[in-house]
Formats: sequence, C-alpha cells, structure tokens
Amino acid sequence: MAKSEFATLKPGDEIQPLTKAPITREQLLDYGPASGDMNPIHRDDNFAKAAGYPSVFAHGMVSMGFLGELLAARFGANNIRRFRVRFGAITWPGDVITCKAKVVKNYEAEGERRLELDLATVDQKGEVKITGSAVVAV
Amino acid sequence: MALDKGLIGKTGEAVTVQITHEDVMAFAKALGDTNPDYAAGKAVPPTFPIALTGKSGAGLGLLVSLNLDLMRVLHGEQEFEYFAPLKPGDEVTLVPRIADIYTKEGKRGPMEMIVLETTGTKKSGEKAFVSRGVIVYLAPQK
Repeated sequence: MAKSEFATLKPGDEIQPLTKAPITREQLLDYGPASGDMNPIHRDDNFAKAAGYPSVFAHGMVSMGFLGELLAARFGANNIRRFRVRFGAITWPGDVITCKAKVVKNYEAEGERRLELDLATVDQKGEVKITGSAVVAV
Repeated sequence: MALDKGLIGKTGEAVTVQITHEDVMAFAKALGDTNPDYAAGKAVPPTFPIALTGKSGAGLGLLVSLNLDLMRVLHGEQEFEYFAPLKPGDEVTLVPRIADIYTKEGKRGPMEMIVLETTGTKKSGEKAFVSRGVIVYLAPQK
C-alpha cells in the first residue's frame, strides 16, 4: 500500500477543488462521438427546444467526467473504487463548473485505507448542479 | 403507456470491445482532461466505461425493446463500481441488463425510472467494472 498524504484526512476535510473552463457547444459536439451518446438534445438547438428546453445542454456524463477528472488528478484513476452521482440541475453551455470533494469517512476495508467522499459540482453562481459520492483508496 | 415491468432482469446481447489509446484520448480531450496517465496508457478516465457501452451499442437492444421517446429521456443517476483497472489494449466483454423499472412522482407527473446495469469483464475473466445508469422517463408533455 502506497504511503499517501491523504491517509490522515478526517471527516469534513476538503480536497483541493477543480475549476473547469466554460462548457462550450463544440465540447458537447466532441463528447457525442467520444462517448457514443449522440442524443440530439445535446447537439441540436431545434430538437432541444421541441423537447421544452431553451437550448442544448451538457450531457450529465460531462459533469460526472469533470468530477472524475478531480478524483483521478488527486487520487489516481486506478485508486477509485466506487463513484456515483445524481444529476440534479441542468448544466448549460457557458457554465463554469467547479468540482468539489469532501471527506465523509476515513476507514480500512479489503486490506487498504479508503476515503469516502461527498462530491458536488457548482456553477459560477454557486448553484449546485450534481451531487454524488466516491470511495477511493489512499 | 407504462413500461413493461416484465422486462426487469432481461439481459441484452454480450458485446466484446477493445480499448484503444485513440478512444481514450478522444474521450479525455472532450472532457478537457489532460491527466498524463491517459497519454501514457496507464489508465482510462473513471467515466470511460460509459464510452465502451455507448460506442459499442451494448444495451441499445434493451433500450429499443422499451420503445422510449427520446424527447422524454433524461439521465437521472450514474454509478460505477471498479474491481480491476483498465488500460488501452484491454479486451472487455460487456453484458447489459435491465436491473429495475419503477415509478416515481416528478414535477411533470409520474416518471418511470429504468436501471440499466452493465458488467464489464476482462479477457482474463476478471471483472473490471459494473456501470449502473438510472434513466428517467418523463411523463408526456401536455
């Protein structure tokens, strides 16, 4: 087990957050073929309007991907054991998303030290967009 | 109009895919994620399993059998459990399954929730991940 600065973190401790560049329509067009999700609701304003939205919006998985970037950058992609999110508010092109993680539990399981984290993305106005949790080995 | 709950437990066709460095990099790039482990071929982004299922069409047959109107579909929740790391070159067999269908009261009326679970297993037989997506099926617009 690798020695890690995170092993001594306590409930309530915050992980250094990650703020992403503003979401662009081009990024959503790129994410479609990269992920295989070609739902026109993320690509075609007319389709999005017909479905009752003011414009296209980001795939929930783009926001989860941002949180994944935070987890992998801080803990290493291969140290994530579980990762879940609930997609709450819609994330729009132009939104500046900050990914946050806070320690809920520091414990030992399956022969390794693990942190349970509360996760959230918030936009430039401080509105919480998605929430979730993760378990990482430290 | 209610979805057929008899489909709960139904398994879709297994699909085997190979992870390519190119696919990993395109996925990371779309997210704006420059983690050097991906370029080095040491790991894949944590949400990359969604691209394995999305691009291979695993689970698509199950979704088609539900006959959903795309305009009413939202991704409500997503979960990954990781059992073994993945990297470019790995061959992964994906087995999709409708884990649950249930009803929930929403702002626009009753919504149906579909839990689509996909298990990814490496060629060695080692289970790599389970991906669990909750699809929200909104009531029709009035």
